[in-house]
Amino acid sequence: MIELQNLSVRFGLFHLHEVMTSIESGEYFVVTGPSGSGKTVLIETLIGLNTHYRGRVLLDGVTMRGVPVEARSIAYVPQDYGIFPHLSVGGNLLYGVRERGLRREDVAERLDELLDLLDLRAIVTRTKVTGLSAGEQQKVAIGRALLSNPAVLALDEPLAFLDGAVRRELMLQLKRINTELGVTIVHATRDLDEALALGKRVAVLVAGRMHQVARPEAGRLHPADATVARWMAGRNVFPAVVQNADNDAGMATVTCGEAELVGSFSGIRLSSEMAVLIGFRPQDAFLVAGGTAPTKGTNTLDATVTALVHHGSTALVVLDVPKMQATVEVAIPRASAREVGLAEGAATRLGLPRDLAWVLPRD
Amino acid sequence: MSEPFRHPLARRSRKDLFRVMATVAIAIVIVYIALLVATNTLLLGTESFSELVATERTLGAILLSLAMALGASVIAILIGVPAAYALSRLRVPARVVFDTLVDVPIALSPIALGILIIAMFSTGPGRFIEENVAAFTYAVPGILLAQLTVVCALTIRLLKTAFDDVPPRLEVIARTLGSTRWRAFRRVTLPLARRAVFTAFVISFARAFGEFGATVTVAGAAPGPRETLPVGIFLRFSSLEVSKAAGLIALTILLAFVFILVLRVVTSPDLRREIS
Repeated sequence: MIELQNLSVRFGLFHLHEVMTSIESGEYFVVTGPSGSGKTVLIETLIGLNTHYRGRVLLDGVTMRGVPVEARSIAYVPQDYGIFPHLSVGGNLLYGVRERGLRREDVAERLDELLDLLDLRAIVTRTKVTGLSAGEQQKVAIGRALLSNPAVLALDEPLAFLDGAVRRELMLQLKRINTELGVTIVHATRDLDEALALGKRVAVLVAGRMHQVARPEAGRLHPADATVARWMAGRNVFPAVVQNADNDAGMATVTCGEAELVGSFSGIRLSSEMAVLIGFRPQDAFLVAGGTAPTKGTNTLDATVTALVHHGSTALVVLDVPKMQATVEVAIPRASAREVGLAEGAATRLGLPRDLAWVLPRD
Repeated sequence: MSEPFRHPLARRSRKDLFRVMATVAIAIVIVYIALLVATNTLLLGTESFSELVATERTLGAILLSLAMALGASVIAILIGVPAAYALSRLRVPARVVFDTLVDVPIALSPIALGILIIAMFSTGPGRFIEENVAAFTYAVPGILLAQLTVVCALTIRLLKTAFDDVPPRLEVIARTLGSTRWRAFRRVTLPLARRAVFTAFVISFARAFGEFGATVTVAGAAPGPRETLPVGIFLRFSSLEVSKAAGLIALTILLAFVFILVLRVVTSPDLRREIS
């Protein structure tokens, strides 16, 4: 178990404030947040690189202050993999074995398991690492980190330089590594979807403060405050006023502009006339095809498409919603956008599921 | 339709022009060195080469020069590797001042360095060493020290550049895999800087082999047991024995070429592979 107690780090203008959390053994813990929020500082403090911190870092109850990097049993894979260019693939994989005073026979079984888990058999005999693809390098780096059986695997943006199929493959492999090998994983990423897909618990770090540690449900996270909401939803956070609230069900009706919207909340108590915010992720909203009746449990509003950007497999649609007196962003599958013949200037209807519209206290 | 800014063929010829310029530059350097070597054979005169150099005095100078240069370059590497690593990795205040201080001997003339060495051994702790441990001034250890002083800064500079090029992150990863700082250096940083270490060794050897100013200031210029090849050349030249000086120059060229080539091949696995 890793415990961070009032962990503060100061580097020039950067300040990691009083981080307080604990990570269970065998847990998949993801730290997410925008670039520069302190994720890397947190990871580096954990592995022992950064010794100038206040507060306590405990590993299985033992303080890590003064414990050198090599004595921590925390393996580390940085964003750029850090493959040793002068060693073969095998040499890279086995690097830690000798350093930890193990013999090759000791790790033979685990090596076998890792070669299968990471699908490394095809490249394990390569004498040079120069020809490896980014995905292969990342797998070698992860295999190398895991071979000497560390208590914790710390990953800093492990998927950032990978794309498409390789990224999805590695995500599944990381999940299997966590469950099948039982290794605790601490994974830092600025990609919220990656965090929600992998983390048993997700910590949101913004500007050096840990705003929230939560268990995502079905790949979703209800933001704890406006800061987290703004990071998750971009511009889709709007001021609103509570009309009435059902504190038991965690549902509230709010007025946003002239629109009446129903959203969900948790961890707070709301009452009428309270000034709040309502927000949602662009990918959680959708467009209702003309003439169709809105689904039950959905807020529906008339809207006009003001801009349309095709980005990979999604279409980012910017909508003018007169009733909300707001500009709203919706991300829908590109194919759906084509199917309904979406174009700039077209009239449409915005659909916003009640459970995915967050009602939050104002900051 | 707008015309392309430059015709593709014109662009290609510009690229070729650069290749031509590069080739011309190296050709000029090689021709110049060849010209210097060739001129030297004119100075040799009518006496046979063997007559000029095959003497006990010359043999002594050759052995002394090789031994001193080898000694100085080996010590320079032994000191230079850890020193350059420290300069590259340690984060201390005013690091740039220390870094620059290390470069000062490169800018100082070898004679000036020699004078400072003599002065050091005539006062304080230097004098104590001179009188009770080993004599340096006008003695063979002085030659070694003079050459080492001239060469060491150069070695450290070359090595520091090499260590700077090894990402510290790789050492961090080695440490998370169980290496101590020393093991991370030994198994990651040093192998990655290997080529530069070998180059620094060869360059240090070459520089020490040709060292004259500091050597002559510390050990004096006299025929005999403290006479290196450069000193020998100077003595012959200053006593107007030009053809003998030319003979020793020819010998130096030959030895330098063979030794540097051998060192380069021996210390560079890549070059060995290329040859075989």
